[in-house]
Amino acid sequence: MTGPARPTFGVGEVGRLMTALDWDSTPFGPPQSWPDVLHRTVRMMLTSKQQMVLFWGPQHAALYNDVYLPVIGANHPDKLGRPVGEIWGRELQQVLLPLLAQVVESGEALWAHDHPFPLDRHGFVEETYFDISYDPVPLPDGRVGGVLCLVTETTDRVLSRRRIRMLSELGAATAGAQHIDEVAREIIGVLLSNPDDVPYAHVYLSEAGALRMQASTMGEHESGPLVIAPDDETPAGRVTAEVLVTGKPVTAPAAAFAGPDPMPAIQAVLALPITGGSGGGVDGVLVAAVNPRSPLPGAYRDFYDVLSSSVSASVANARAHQREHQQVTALAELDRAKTEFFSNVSHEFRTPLMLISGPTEDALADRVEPLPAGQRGRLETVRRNAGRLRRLVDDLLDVARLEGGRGQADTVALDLADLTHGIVGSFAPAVERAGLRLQIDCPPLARPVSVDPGMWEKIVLNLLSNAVKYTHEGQVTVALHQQGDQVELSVTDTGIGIPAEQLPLLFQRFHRFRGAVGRSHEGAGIGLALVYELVRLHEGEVTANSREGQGSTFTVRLPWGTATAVGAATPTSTVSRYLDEALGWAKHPEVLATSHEEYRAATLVLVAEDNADMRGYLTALLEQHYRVISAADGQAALQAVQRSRPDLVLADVMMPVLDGFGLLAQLRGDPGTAALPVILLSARAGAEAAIEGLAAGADDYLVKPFSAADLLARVRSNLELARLRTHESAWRMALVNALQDGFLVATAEGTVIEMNEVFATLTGYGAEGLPYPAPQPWWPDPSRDPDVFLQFTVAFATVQQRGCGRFVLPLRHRDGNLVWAAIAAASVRDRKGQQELLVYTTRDVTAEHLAAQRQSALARFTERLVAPRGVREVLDVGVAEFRDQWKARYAFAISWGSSGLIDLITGDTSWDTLDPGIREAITAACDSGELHTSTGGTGIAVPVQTGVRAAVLWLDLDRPSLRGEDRMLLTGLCEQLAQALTRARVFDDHRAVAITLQRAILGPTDLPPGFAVRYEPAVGQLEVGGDWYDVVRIGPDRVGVVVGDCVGRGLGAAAVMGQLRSACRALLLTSHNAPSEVLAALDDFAALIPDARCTTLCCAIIDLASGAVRYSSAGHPPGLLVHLDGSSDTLDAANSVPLATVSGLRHRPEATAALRPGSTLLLYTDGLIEHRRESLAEGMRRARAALLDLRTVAPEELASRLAERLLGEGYEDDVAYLIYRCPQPVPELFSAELPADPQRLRPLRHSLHTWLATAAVEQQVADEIVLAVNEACTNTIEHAHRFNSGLIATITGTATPEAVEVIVSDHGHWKPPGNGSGSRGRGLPLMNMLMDDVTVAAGAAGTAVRLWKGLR
Amino acid sequence: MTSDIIHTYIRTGAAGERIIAVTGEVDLATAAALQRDLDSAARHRTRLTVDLAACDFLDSAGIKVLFDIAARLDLELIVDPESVIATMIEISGLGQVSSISTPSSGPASS
Repeated sequence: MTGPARPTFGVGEVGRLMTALDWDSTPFGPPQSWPDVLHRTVRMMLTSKQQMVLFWGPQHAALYNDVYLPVIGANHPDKLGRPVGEIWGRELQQVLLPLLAQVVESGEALWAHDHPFPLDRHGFVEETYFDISYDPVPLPDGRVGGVLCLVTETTDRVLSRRRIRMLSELGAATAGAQHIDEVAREIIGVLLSNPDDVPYAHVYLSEAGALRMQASTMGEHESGPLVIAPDDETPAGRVTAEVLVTGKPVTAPAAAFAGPDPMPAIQAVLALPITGGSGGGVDGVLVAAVNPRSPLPGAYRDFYDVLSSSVSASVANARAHQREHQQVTALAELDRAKTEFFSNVSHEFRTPLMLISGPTEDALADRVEPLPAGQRGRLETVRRNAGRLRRLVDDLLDVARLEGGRGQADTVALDLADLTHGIVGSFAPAVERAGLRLQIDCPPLARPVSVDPGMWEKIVLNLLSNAVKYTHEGQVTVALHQQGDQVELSVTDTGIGIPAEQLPLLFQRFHRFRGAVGRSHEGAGIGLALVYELVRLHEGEVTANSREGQGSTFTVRLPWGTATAVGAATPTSTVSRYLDEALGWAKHPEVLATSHEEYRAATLVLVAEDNADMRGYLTALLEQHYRVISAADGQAALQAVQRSRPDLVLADVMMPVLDGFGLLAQLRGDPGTAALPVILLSARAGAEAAIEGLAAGADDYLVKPFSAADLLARVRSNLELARLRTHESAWRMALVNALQDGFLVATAEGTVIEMNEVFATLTGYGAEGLPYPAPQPWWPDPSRDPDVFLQFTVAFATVQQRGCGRFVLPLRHRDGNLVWAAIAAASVRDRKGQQELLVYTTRDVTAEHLAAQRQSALARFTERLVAPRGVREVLDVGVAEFRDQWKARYAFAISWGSSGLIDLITGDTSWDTLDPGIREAITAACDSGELHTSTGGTGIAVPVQTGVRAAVLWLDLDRPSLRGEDRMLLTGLCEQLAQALTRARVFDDHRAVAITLQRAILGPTDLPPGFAVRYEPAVGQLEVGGDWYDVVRIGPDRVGVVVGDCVGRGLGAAAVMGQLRSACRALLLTSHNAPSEVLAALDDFAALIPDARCTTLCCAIIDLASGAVRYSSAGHPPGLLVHLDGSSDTLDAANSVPLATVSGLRHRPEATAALRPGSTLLLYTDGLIEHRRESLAEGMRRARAALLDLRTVAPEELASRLAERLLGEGYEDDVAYLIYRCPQPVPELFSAELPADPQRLRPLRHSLHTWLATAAVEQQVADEIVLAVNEACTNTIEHAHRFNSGLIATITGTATPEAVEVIVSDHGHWKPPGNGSGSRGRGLPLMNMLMDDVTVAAGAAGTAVRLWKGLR
Repeated sequence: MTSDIIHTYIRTGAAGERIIAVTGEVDLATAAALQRDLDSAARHRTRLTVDLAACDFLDSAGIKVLFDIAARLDLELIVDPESVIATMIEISGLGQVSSISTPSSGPASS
């Protein structure tokens, strides 16, 4: 056969095969028939080190080079030269064919980054990714003969990036989780986000010996076994048992862990050990499905190993946290139980004590059956000790309440010196009785002090009685003085003192120091503990100072306080109980017998008798036993009753003015005297008279004559009966008042007619205000708290209807605060059985309520603090929470950086404009770590963290003093905020380090004018990336710019990036004007550096003078150029392969784009346009639209706003971009005045020419403009010079490269065309023809002619 | 500035015709002078050639003068076709009542 020799294709493996190939059986046909371009392309391909494949002809028959063999895989060598349809399966064809068709049809190259291909090269379909550049191979006739595909496999990069991102998300998501199930949920949440690597997964954790599925990415009905027992013989049981025993991962068939509805494509699962247990053993199993599209050995398997250890770490953390939490809870529970026990026990003591002291008091007071002296002495002892016991029980209750966090100081501002003086004074008898001197040194203080008077009394009395108890001789000194900003009370004795080693234990509950020789061995050791708690409630402190054998000083220091309520400074009955006890310490206690005389003096009898003799007799008779007053008639008797309140009335029936019955009726009609015993005397005998008297309401009836003994017996028994009655009601009242709970009695209509002291204390409304008709003043205010008011009315109505009920409701205290009460209501009949009454008991549950609120607030806060990561975000959340919690008018936070300077203030507050008082409070809070109120009392500064990197919150409050409950909540919230802040600071620091590092490596900070650059690290990544930019001044008029992207991330990528950047910089400085040469030289350089291969970059040289941009791109996304007029260009005319991918590539393409004045150039890395679920073309479209919108914004601001527009939240890749704005020349301005003198036209024309020449307007155009202006001026002069020889017109001009505008304004009227002066009227049409736009604006002041000519 | 900023020179063309050449700038200030010179040159003639190739400027005041001449006799203008004066002559309509020629090529038919 004649014809050209059969060509050979080199010595490579593919080349040899091609030389030997039977081409006639392929769609290519014999090589002799190939077009030149095919030969050239094949030769180039076979010698290239870049992976290439050529698809030729309508069937896309494939030829490829040696380096492509890993991609073609097992299809080689059989499929060499075969059509696509024979090489790969349908799945790949569906992806590949449309891409090829697009290139063939459009004739344009196609470029894509990390394009997914389902490749079946090793017998299964594999998930692979490639960077691709598909270039059309044109035939001589212009058609596209084939597509040359330059590919770089990026599967490893894409998959590892995805996996690393998931692992880092896993770490972040589980960091805040504290419970096992929460951790499991978070893990599953993260796994769900990556179904490609983890098609499904179950988390099994050990629980009570078995494995329990804690969470799964699948629904319950479709997942594997929920519980796996240790001896489970199913496949799942055997697999997990092996993992548990060996601690090694096991591969198992998917069926072992699939539910009834398995995923058929999943063949295998990996069972991975979770080592979260305390002993380091295997604590659970992570069962994860294996994606059949990823080969398990290698990176995928490594990923699963890292995943399992990451899951293990999270589980271990949570387990540890849970153990710790359980311990803390148990301890708190123990403490609470102890406190509760004391509280209950103490409470139980009170009732029997009451029943001991009550009858004892009665027995001692009994005059009717007076006690013999001996018995009296014994009962005195009983009474005194019952009182002492009661005081101890009360103290115990106080301490228990205080330690339970339920105590609250009800502070009022009062004269503390006066109060203290009063208390000490009342105690003086006991000190004297003990043979000690008492010195009181309480000078008046400068201003009132806020204390709870009852508590202060206990503080003083406890310290005082302690001093007396342990002092045998000498004196006790009580002093109260002002000490700086505090008030100081000291109680000094000359007693036995306290051993130094005991001092620290002094204020502990139940601590009594050993070996002490006191006056009494009494005491449970709670006095000082009580003092300590009471002082603490006042935000003060108590200290003790002592020298053994010489005496002790107890010092109490209190702040002045800020209470606004004013109180009285009078000691209360508490003093007597302390006094009683202290008096008992005297060596010879006196018997405090009440004499008969006292009793006599205590009982008053009124005798009403008109007969003076009878009156005298009765008085004399009764005076032996009682005090007696008398009256001569009923009216006088009535007045005497009102005046003297006698205990009994003895009245004759027959009296003038008002008789006995009349007097009786009057007395019974007055509630104050209705129960007063009345004995009627009458001369009328007989049963009828007696019945008449008793029916009228008399207590007894005597018929004259009567014996003296009979009279005295009747009087005595009636007095006794009355006293019993009074006792009964007093006893009942005492019982009611002894109740720990509030107590109310109300009528069926709801009017409150009785209450006890507890309720009065609870609400501030006392018994003196009875009766209280509904709605009572302690109901919530309907306008301020409409919700609770509604609750209240509903509860009230319920009780009215049902007669009973239990509620927890807020009551409004007299001071306006809400107190929460548990209320129980029951209905009873009154004593006479006539009236339905409602009895309410109320228990103050404010503390519990607030504690519950506090707990929920803390829990809510914890939850909110999980999401924010940086310091600013954390503080923003914190500020919002504090502001809402305390209803602050406003709030902000200040954080100090490690330099000790303020680095952050939230909101729009600035330190310099802050009120000095607030600044002072914040500084003080920061320094001391304590709350500080500003001097004006407008709010509080709350220290969150102290030290160098401090943080302080400011809350602007109406009432800046916080009560105990608020303070505890504040402390809790602060602790949480501080923890979150610490985490956030670490996060910010890491991020700052990463960014600083990157920016340090990155380009110059000193940029030529018009340039702006940005580098944004990927969100959530603390690593540096491989993106960079650079701006290099090459000469006075030229600037080289580079934006590039190295493969990978981390320090390795940063190092490669640094070298490429330096090399590129050097090359730019030497090869002055050819970016293509720079890139070609960089190819050689990159080939020498491992990992520099496949770097993409765009290099451009901008000629600042001409606006020409010469550029060349190495596989980099094309730059964007937008112009002021809204048009735009894409810098895609010089794209080629990434660096060092094709060896011997000597020539890289280069193209030029033209900048116009005001044009904006944007070069960027792919992160700017890459988004999930969005094509690159869409990303570029968005970038172009943003650039167009912002084309007049200054470059620096443009750079920032571009990031906002395009990056949004959570961008996944780092981004570098560079902006250049071509300067807009400053317009050339012209200004001249024209007189009405034609001679001046010529110089005007000349200066116009000079101006237009400066503005670089072309000569011919300038001639036309000058001619037009000349016409306008001529017209003006012709019109004006008849009247005026002065200045008649002003000419102003503006010239930009776009247009020239001249305005001729005169004070006359424009001459219309063709009117009057013949051809001179041609002026206006001439101007219209010479210029692009002529407008004549005629106004009253004159005419302005605007001449405009475009220059483009 | 003096008003004397245009000059006219009279020469004889190749065909013996009378040519009056204008230099300087013709505007409102100098149009009267041009009028005077052209009137005197055009006296007793039926045709006149005005050479504007050396004229630096000509506005509507000058155009008006030329229109007046063209109304009385055949006017031929020599103009640099690239110059703004050529533009002016064309857009003013003067070209339609006179014949135009370029400096070197002689008269073009009109």
